[in-house]
Amino acid sequence: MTSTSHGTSLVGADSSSAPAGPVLDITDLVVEHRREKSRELFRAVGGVSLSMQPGDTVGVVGESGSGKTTLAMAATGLGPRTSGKIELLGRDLDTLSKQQLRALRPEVQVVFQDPHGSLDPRQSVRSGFRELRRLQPKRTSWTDDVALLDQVRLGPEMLDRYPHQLSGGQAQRVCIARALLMRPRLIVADEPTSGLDVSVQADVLDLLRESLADSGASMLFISHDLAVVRNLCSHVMVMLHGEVVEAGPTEEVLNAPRHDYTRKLLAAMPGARWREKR
Amino acid sequence: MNAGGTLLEVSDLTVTAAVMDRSLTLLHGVSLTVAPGEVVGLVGESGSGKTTLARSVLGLLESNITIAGGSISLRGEEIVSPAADRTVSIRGKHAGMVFQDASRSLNPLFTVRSQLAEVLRRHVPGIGKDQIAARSAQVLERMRIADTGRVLDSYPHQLSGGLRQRVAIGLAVVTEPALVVADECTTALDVTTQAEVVVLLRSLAADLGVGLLFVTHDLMLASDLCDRIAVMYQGEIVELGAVDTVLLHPEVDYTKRLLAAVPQWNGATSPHA
Ligand SMILES: Nc1ncnc2c1ncn2[C@@H]1O[C@H](COP(=O)(O)OP(=O)(O)OP(=O)(O)O)[C@@H](O)[C@H]1O
Ligand SMILES: Nc1ncnc2c1ncn2[C@@H]1O[C@H](COP(=O)(O)OP(=O)(O)OP(=O)(O)O)[C@@H](O)[C@H]1O
Ligand SMILES: [Mg+2]
Ligand SMILES: [Mg+2]
Repeated sequence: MTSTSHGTSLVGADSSSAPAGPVLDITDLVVEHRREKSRELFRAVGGVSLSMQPGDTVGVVGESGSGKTTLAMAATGLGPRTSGKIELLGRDLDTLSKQQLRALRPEVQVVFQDPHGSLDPRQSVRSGFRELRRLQPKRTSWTDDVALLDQVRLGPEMLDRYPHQLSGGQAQRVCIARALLMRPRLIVADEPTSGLDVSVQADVLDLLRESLADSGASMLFISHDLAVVRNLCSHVMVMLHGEVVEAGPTEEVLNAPRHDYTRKLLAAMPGARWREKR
Repeated sequence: MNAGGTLLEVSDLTVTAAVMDRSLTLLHGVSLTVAPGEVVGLVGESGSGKTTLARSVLGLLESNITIAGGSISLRGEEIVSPAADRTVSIRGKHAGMVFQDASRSLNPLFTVRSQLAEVLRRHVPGIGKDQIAARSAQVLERMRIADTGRVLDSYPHQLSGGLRQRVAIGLAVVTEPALVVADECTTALDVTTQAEVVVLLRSLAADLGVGLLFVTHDLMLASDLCDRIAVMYQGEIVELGAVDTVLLHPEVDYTKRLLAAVPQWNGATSPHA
């Protein structure tokens, strides 16, 4: 992975020299939102560049409101973009029609920040899976429903549940299962395990790691949990006020943070009291 | 703790749900108290019943869920039992709730400003326009929101996940209720903002005497914030005690397993005990 903000390179060397081109290539992305009343522009993402190679897992951490979700939505063509270039699976988003973009959907799976909000309230878990399978009519091998749920540590009784009958963490796991079902080349996951207790989270992270290793897929993983990012991601990108302040191989950034904000994040990790006493 | 010092008392609460043609028991005889100024953490596995318990207190359960036994009292007055639901009279005024999904706490059709004004008008009799404006801005500032003007004029979808969560907390506390039930209310916050919100929640308890039932799956967060911790497992409270007792000398296997799975900072997650 390489990442820059405002043209300053923050990462030295490229991590992998995979034969295929980058899975996601963002050049100088700017996203501005217009304020309702004053019509002023608010710059949510201010010139971010990022190049993800196949197999990279890039963790995006940063302050609340720093533009992480806006970046993810723009990168996948789901959200607005003011300027800058995005190549998704080698296709320039500017040249893709709506239809061509839709055709890419199964290969680029997004797990949204609000799991309940992103599941169709009128659809049971089972019929949701069924609908996804219809998106890839030619594919012959599928993980069956029960095995799929089992991977995210949910029992078969969840198949007939509607979203409002799931707990927060169960809804999150259904979203992850739905993403994995499609065997995507890129997963963009926005706080996908934030509602899970540590023991379930450990299993879900193992599952993600294994699936990525098996399929060679890449993941853009937004999280505020530095321990999780360290555990899962090859690279990390730290955002503040719409810009990347620091990026690079995870161990490098987290062991020897160069930016004050990264140091602040590390110092604010919860549990210091308990860790001390233990 | 004597009975007079109890703000919230949940006694032997049993809650069931109807799914298809079956009845599931979501809570099996759960008992818990919260005193004024006390922060009680409710931790436990995903699906263990934390949200169900939190929503029972405010009478905000899904329509297929029933209070099958036990009761809940606020300041000695019974508000929830199989026979009665008097939660309407306390909701907003005496007890505020922050939902796990901020989209539930906030109405997508109204700006933050009008939602805060509406809660204040409804629960603070005779409050004037200026006071509404002042208290709205003040509560957002207390939530460590920098540009309160922009946030007040925004609709929920125009806010980041973390801003939405802080607005939702603001909505729950702006009327200064005696009890706040917060369900995973910091999950979308980065750790520095979370630490600030935790300080703020502590100060609500310490300075205003607010009792806080704090639902979280994050033991480390609970260890920073709470006075006592209740650990839930499959619809029951399996362990309940002072923070240090529960985290340093856990008694039940489930708590020990949870603690063992806490990611270590210098390395990968330790294997499950
Ligand atoms: N309306 C409902 N109908 C049927 N079952 C439900 C309903 N709501 C919740 N449940 C089930 O009740 C159990 C407890 O759910 P609850 O939401 O209280 O869990 P939780 O501890 O808050 O979990 P999480 O940490 O994942 O949010 C779960 O197994 C869930 O599937
Ligand atoms: N549709 C919109 N209209 C106006 N402003 C918006 C819109 N969407 C987002 N914003 C603003 O852009 C900024 C960045 O939001 P974004 O959701 O990308 O942050 P984030 O890093 O994902 O934060 P969090 O960690 O809290 O989820 C925020 O200040 C937010 O209020
Ligand atoms: Mg976000
Ligand atoms: Mg819950």
